[in-house]
Amino acid sequence: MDILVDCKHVKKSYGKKEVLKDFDLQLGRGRIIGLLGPNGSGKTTLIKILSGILSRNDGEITIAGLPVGIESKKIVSYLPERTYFSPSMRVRQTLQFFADFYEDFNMDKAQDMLSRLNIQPSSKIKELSKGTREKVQLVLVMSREAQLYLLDEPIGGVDPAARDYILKTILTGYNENASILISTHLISDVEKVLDEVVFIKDGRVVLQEAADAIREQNGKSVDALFREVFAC
Amino acid sequence: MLRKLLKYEFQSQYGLYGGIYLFMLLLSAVAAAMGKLCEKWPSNQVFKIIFVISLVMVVIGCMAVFVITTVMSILRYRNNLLKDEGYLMHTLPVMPASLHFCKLAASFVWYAADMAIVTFIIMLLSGDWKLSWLFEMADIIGCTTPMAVLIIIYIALSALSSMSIFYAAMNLGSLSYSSKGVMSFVAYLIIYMVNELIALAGLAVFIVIQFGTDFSAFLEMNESAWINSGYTMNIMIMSVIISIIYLVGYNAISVYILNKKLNLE
Repeated sequence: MDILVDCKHVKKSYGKKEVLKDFDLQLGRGRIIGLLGPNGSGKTTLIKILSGILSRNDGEITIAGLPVGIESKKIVSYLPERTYFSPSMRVRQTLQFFADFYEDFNMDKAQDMLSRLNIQPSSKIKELSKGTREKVQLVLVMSREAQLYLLDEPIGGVDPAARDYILKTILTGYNENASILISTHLISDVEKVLDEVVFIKDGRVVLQEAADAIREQNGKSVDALFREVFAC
Repeated sequence: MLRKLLKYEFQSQYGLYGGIYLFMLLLSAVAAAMGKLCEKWPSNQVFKIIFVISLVMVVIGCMAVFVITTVMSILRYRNNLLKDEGYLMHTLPVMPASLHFCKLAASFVWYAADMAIVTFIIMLLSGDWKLSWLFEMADIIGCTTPMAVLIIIYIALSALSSMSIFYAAMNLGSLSYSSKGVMSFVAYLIIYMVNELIALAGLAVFIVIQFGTDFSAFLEMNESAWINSGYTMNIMIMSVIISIIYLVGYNAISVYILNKKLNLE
């Protein structure tokens, strides 16, 4: 396997609370991977560490052989679970912002996706609904020709009708050398697009398997297996 | 990349500052016009009242503009680097130091613009376009050209170091996993006390160097002795050095935290 993400013995704690405990994970290229686990299992923490907005306490991480830093940020496209644009910006300005800072940003693709979603470039971010803001961010993130896409709850805030479009965008928006790591609770919605599944529990990987293999071996969907593994 | 960061930094703020400066200039123009009208018609009470009110507003505005710049710089840093917008800024392929120094440079430019506007307003209201009162005052206190240069440098460094202290306090507060705001405030208080101790130690060193251990000579110095001696110059040099130490130290703290201990929750 051509390793894209390599985490070795990663530790992260918030004060006394250990969130990632000697965490090991390897992810290959060309895959859509579901990062699944209950609340507080460490999904968002892992994604934040990979994106470089949270420092780890210990361990090593490389992305395409690069340590997390300026060089890795050039090839990682991150969608957080919150709105990160200044409310006073216009959609057009957010496009230009991405074009200015990311060499791999495809302006034509972004404009095309926005027009399909009927989002006006002249709109101000503060005038958009929460769901539309999330769509704008997703469009920007998926319009980069990145090697790793980190999507934290990408469909959590949008209506069910838009989810299909977003999942279609995710499916068609990346190249064969790239991988997408999706963290979500809406497993049944994303299950159909996943190639691989990573279950996290208490800061450790408890299962890493191809989605098809889970269905074949267990005779049940990823969603059903999740409910079984993480039953309260 | 720093150039691009600065472009967006100024783009996001020029509307606010442009509005404030325009308002200040209009207000001072009204005050200046009323002053002229009062000179022409000294008995007109309406002109006098409008003149006094507009003058008071200009004076308050001139002080408020620096407070606004300080508050806006702090909020901008917090919101753009340590809150939600930080999720975008810290995933840009730029050095954390660039993100930090962009904010510092922008706040310095706004302070300089504040200073320029206030100076212009003073010239407009006094009708003294050569600022001769300033030079006369400098003569009275025996301020030489090197001293004036040092004062300008000190003012610029003070503006930079005071913002650096606010930024360092916010970054130290951001390390907390619970009340970041409270911890930032506590960090600021601690930094303030450390600075006071450094300044006190600096003054003590200065006294010992200049007067030895005979403090009575220092305490007995009067105003003219201060003006005629080179002590004021030495104090200015020491103040500049202390400001540089603050500037380097507190920026190093901020850059280190943004680089190695970033904690966006």
